[in-house]
Amino acid sequence: MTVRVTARRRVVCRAVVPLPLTARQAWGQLRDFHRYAAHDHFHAGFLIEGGVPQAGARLTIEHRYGPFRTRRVGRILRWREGEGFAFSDLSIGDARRAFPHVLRMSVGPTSEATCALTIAVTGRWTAPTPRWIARLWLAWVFLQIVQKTRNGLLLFAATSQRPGAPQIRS
Amino acid sequence: MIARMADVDFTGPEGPPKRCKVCAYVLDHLGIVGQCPECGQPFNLADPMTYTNKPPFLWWTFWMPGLLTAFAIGVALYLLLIPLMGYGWATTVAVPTAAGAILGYRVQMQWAVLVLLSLIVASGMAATLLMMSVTGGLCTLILGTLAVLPAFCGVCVGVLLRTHLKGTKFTQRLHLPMLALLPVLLALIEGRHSQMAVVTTSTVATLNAPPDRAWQSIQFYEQVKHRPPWLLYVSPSLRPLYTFGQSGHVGDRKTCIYERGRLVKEITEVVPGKRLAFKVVEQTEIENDGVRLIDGSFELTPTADGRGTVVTLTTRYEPKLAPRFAYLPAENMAVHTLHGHVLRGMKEDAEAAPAGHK
Repeated sequence: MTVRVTARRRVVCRAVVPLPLTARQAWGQLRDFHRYAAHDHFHAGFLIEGGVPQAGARLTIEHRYGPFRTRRVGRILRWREGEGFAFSDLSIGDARRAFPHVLRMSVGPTSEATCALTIAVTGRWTAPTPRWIARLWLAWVFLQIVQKTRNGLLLFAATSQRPGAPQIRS
Repeated sequence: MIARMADVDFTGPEGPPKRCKVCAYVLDHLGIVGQCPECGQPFNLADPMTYTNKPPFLWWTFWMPGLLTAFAIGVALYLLLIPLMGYGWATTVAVPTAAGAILGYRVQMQWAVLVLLSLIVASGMAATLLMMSVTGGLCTLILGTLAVLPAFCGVCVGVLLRTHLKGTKFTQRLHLPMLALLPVLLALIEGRHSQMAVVTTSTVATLNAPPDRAWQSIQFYEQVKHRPPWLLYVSPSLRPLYTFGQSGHVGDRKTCIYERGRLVKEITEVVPGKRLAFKVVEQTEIENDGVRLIDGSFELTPTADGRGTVVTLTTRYEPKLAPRFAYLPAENMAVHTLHGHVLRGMKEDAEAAPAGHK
């Protein structure tokens, strides 16, 4: 897992998670957009334009910061069946303020039975804080996203390999 | 974007996602009718029989089997070791540690959940022994309390073992029986604690009554009128029902019947106004697994001004519970509680009634 905040405040967080699932099996779970996109600690829920997650669909993202709730907006930038999705998360008033960023999740095969999940967050850090504080904060939030996503998929893998579990044909 | 948002129909999730019945692939937004991209199973989202809303895993399946395994192995070890080897390090420490290790090895959950599960295992094992009449009420309470810490230490060992073995090629399941065998091995090395030093416990209280009135108010535990403290009341074998027999002369016998079990005391010494001693000649189902009651006495000494009496209650017993450092404080607490209960009964009688009322 890498978390970088450049001198020009560009944010690049990236993690690659190996999974004991085929890429198609992993995507079969990841495409539950409402669940996996909400693994950000502060994402409380999504409303999708037309209700169907597809490239170009606009989003309303409910954010929760403890007792405070606020809305942000975005758009599904990429939705490729079997591969992954990406969406933007922007301030409702000014898209250049309040940490505009894009979250991307994609899966790719690493062998016949395994795949790698790539999670990336890119954006611009706009708060007037020292870079090391930004890095520390982003590392914590990003780690939550990675762990929740990985645990969800590993749990699915563990369950599908148990006796009596749904037979997954790959 | 805000202005345009008002014109758009935004929709939230419509309940849990629809999944393939065979492989749990999420089928939402793949068309109303089609085939699962993963396994080819046909589906029709208009027909609930062709898909499922159930998630592919249920949380309880991740902790319940481990909990039941740990619990069953722990109880089985207790049932094997207590009758054969009695109480010792193996039963008091090794069994809950082994059960905890199996729990920690088998259950992958957050630490807070593991702590809770180890508490459930420790208390559940003790309660099962009580229900099967393997242990008495007090023994169960002490054993269950003492089992909590070893059970949690065992959980830590189990987690470490699992974490370490993940990186090896060794067949991990083979370790489980070994964990259960360790307490048996320890019990064989430890042996049975057949003879333990006799314990004498005394409790002293001052009554605001002269020795002759204090003498009149002497009563055994079973004769005290007020309700016993909860520590004594939890055990059916310490809840008295009635007594019969005499205790006025040497050789007299007093039989006390409890909700479960009976106790027969024979008077061995009577010095009016000074000392009453007895020995226990029969102890049936009265915490027999934990102690063998030997004898006891009431010693009465007048205070310096002659208006009060210092009463010393003494109980002697042969303990059967080891290791002693773990059980002795609990035994002391139980005996002092019992003495305190009797002394309170004596005090109420002596300080309320005029001399010679009995």
